[in-house]
Amino acid sequence: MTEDRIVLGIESTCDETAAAVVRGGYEVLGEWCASQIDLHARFGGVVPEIACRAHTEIITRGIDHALREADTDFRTLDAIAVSHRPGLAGSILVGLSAAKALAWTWGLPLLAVDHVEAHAYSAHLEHRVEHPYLALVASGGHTSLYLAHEAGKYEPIGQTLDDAAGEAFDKAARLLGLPYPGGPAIEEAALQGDPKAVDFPRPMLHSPSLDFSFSGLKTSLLYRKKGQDANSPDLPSLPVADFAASFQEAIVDVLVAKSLRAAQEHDLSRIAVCGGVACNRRLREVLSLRCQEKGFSCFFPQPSLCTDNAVMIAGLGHTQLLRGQRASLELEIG
Amino acid sequence: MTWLTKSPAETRHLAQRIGALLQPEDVVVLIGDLGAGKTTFVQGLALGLGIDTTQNPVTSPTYQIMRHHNGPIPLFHYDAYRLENAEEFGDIEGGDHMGARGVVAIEWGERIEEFLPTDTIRVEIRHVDQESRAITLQPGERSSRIQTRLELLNDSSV
Repeated sequence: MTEDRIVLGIESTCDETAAAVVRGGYEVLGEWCASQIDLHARFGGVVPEIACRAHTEIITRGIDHALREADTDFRTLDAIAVSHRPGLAGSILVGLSAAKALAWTWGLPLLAVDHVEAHAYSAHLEHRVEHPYLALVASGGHTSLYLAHEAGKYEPIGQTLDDAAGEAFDKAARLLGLPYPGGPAIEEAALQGDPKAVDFPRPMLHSPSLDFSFSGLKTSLLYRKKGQDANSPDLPSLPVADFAASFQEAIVDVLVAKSLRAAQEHDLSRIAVCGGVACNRRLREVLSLRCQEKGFSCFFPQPSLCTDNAVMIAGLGHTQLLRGQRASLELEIG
Repeated sequence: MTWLTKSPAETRHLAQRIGALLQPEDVVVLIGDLGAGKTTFVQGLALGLGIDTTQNPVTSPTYQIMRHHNGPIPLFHYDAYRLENAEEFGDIEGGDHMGARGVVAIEWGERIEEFLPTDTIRVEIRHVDQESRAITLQPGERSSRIQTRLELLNDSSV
């Protein structure tokens, strides 16, 4: 089989409905993505029924758009890849049903892609990061470390034990009265703040495990903001920007330290940061600096590949296609 | 019945003992502010239910809305934090249990009051200080079953 197969990728695990046509696992021929963030912003988050309804309304138009942008139609496609886990069941079902229906109608192989692994692949997709590398996937729903042995072969070595990093940003933003989504809001507020103003804990920084915990950080913010932290009662008078900058610094420190340690323990010198939190500029700045000191290289996909997208789904699907993997048309939510 | 726990570990331990007394189709509603320890409590419930959480730890379902944990008694862990309008919840709940009879635990359950069965086990977690929490089992038929068992075990305080 030649290596430049064309795969249609479909993504609908949470906020975004997306479709993409990708050749050879790397080359984006057509791409379409509708974010429901405006819809959710009014509600302070993802609302399942809204997400599900919105996915249904636009997914076929999205697929059509991606195919037209690629200046092609179903006859040139070699397979359809769909993210079938993990995520919001009602949302996944929309993309999955569309993918199965099209695979059946067009007589194409169906490929089942893990959404989080596709994030890990996204760095390779854009930068052709050489394997093996360490992938940190940090988003609203996930914070995981993977050993990327080769494209399509990922071994999880650490994950959050409670809140995801993006969720911590969202909840901190709510506690600070900042808008949704919380990550960009905190990042912006932090620009005017002092990252050393509030002394937040660095959860599990010194624990030997490669797991994360961000739930305590949220509680710590709550008490410091209310002035009920015994050691620092004067904090509530500080501007929100100082809280935002200090909170962001604590999360960045933990993500950076654990990623570096994971890389060292596994003799890797390449680190890729993927997922929505990889858009955070402070994280990029600190990790780049620390990697430089250690002689490591680090990679961040462009923002449109960090957030949920279908390009990475088609890309990872392509590696499965080359390996001869196929999903059954009975494929269910993973 | 109210307990005072002095750390997340104590909260988890109390929940573990309650989890060991749960039966399939029990619905536990967790009520408490951000950072109260609702997810921590559900982690304890899972241990009490005999669920192996080493591969699939009980983490916050805020983003995903529902997480499913297999075990001797499966656990369906919901989070209604992002559900502002209860009308939207029914659809999700219906399809997700995949025919399995298990325990349902719902964080921010008070937001979806009209979708809850009449007899739920309501656990209210209140902040006392940064580490300590007052945990109350609100009265109810199923709650009193648990309360009686805990008392029989001479186990009414942490």
